[in-house]
Amino acid sequence: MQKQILIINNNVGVSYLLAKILKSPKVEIIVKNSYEDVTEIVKKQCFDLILTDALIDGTFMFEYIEELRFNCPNTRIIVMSEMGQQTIKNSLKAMGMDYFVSLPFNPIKIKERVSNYLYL
Amino acid sequence: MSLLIVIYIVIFSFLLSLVILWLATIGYIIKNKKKEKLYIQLEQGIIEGLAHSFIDDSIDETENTKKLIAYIKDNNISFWDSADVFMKVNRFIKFSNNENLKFIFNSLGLEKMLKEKIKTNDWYVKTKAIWMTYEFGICDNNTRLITPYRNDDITLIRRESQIALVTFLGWKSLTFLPYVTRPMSLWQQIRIIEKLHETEEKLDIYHFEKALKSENEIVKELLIRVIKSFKLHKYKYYVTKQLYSKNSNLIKVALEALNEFAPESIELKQIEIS
Repeated sequence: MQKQILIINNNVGVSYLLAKILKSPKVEIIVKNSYEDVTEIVKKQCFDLILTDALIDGTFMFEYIEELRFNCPNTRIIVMSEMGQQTIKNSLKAMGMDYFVSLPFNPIKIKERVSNYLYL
Repeated sequence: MSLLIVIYIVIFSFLLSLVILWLATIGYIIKNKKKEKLYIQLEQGIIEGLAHSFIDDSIDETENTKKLIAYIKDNNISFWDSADVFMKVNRFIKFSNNENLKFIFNSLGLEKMLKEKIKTNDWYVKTKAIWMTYEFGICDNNTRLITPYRNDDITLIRRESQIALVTFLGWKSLTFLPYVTRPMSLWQQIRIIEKLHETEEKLDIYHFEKALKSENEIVKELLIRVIKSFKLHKYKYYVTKQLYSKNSNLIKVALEALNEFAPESIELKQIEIS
């Protein structure tokens, strides 16, 4: 059975890039570019993994991660951001984030991390 | 002409101008939507080409790069549009060190174009070009081109030039600091320190001591922050010297740094009390 990954980023081009990086026959990738679309989809279904930018237009960072965790309690959540300060990482972890990716990232490493989480 | 006809003409003209206005607005929205759609398509085309070079090891990179160059040329993608996409990808995946990128830049003439844009009189274009130059790591001869703008009267040009110099030259670049006579924001100071942390070189004492000769108090603040951030205990004397300044902000920054070096120092506690 295919594993499901939700990619969230306000930018269409960046989402496309992430989808290209994670593309595999074993996974189904769903892309959402706005906060409204995200809230709608996470209420309907849960994913095996969520890869999201820390800052999404229309919400606040910590509140948003908390909301994702509340709606998808068993989903692995990876947050990407340029703000790599330890205090931010700790707060995000407390909100329910599983792994933090500092930007710019290494595509091979992120692929490996996703494969590990999804047991691919 | 009767009054009624005049009123009809006025109403008709008003309605006509309203219809024209609506049509123009609708046309503008449709045109923008089409433009946006086309840009997304082009962006995805470029990203597709770039992504292959760091995802798919089985495909020859040169072949991919050639395909990408042909794609950009065939679609007449403008300089700024293609540069914007490269910047966007570079924010997520640092590919500016990639040899392929240099090949792409050369083939598209981006390097040459950026050089021309740095020389332009338009401050916005100049700033954007300087920013792209250091983000893409195009160092060749650009340092000489950018150096004159380190103390420019336009804040954005000055800011990006300083960051470019620190990115390209690391610690050596700090020799530009005595030439800076204009203000420098705290955010700019943080960016400079971050760029110094990113540099792989070790502290260059010769150039750093040259920077310490700066007379500008805001630059002195920056230098104290550098000393604090890199724990350069050797230059504690410099920080202590600033306690005799008349600038209260400079004294505050110096005290913070000294507090980090020796938080339990009795002398420091006495200074803080006084």
